[in-house]
Amino acid sequence: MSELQYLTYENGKLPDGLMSAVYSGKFLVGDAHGDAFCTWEHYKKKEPQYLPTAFVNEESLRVAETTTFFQKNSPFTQENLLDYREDKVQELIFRMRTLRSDSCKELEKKLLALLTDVKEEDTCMDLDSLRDLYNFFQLNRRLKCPMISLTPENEIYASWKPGGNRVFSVRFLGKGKVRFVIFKPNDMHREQQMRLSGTATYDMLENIASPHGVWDWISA
Amino acid sequence: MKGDILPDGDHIARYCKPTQAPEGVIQATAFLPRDNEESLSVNWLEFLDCPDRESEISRLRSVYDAKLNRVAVNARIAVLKVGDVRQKVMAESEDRRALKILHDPEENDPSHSGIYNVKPDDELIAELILETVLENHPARGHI
Repeated sequence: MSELQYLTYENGKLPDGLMSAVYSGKFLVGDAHGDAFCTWEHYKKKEPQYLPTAFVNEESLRVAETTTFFQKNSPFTQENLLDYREDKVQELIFRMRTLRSDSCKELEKKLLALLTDVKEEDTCMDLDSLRDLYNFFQLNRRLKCPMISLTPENEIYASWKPGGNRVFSVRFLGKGKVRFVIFKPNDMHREQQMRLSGTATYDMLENIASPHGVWDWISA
Repeated sequence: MKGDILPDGDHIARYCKPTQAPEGVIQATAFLPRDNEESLSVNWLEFLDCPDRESEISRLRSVYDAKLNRVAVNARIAVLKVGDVRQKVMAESEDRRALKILHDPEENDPSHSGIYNVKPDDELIAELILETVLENHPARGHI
């Protein structure tokens, strides 16, 4: 591999078919079909630009990501990273409307309101957690809209409370993992309440919760 | 005094951020400690020695104003009874958890106390505590 050159690009976009990666503080440009990265010389004459670090370190995502490149003077400041995360969070919230259900429209509004609140705390929603929430609703479009709050670590916490001593709450931990809580009347002794909690993946929640009747009372 | 156990008949108040009380409705997330927190911060209302609840809440608002950088417009104050919290969690948690609610005064917050023995991943305990909330007040007074 020849000597590294600064990545440069026009109008904030890389030419089609090119990927990029961070290496030792500089950016390599390579072929999208997986060929080894090589230096990009055609843009030597232009002003050097940088891609945000977090962008190029993204793992493969279930949700397709738009590839918007930001022109920044330095990709490594905390402020830039926060701005980048906020943009990605907002983008993902707007995607809720693509799920085409009334509850997802309502969910989008609630998440936007939460985003406003969390920005005032100079922090951001956990993107991995939000992504799992999106994927969960993509699998389960007929669910009623839950109450949404944030844990101290800014993970999404969704809670359905239809009354009658029934609670179903899910904490989206990111990377597909969730912790859940179920409160429901004891079927054999209705005056008593059953309480269950556990850890699972979001795609297993229906299997786990349905035998307890949860999916009936959280579905529209 | 530091370490004193709060009486079961007394009351505590918990500051709830807007992200823990969306649309003004307090959620269980308000009762989860951070990863590095030893206890849930609360205030001992009877320690404030006020004549009624309204003045207790007003006093607390001043405490929050002084202590926090800013009190969010949509933040809330949850009021709970010490005995209700302890007994509910002891009776209904999977491990019969014994919460301790202890006085933990701070220099600029003498009524400060803590709910001990709650872990950051105790969602079930947090939901049980939530069920004992008696009152919900705005954390900011009239602007």
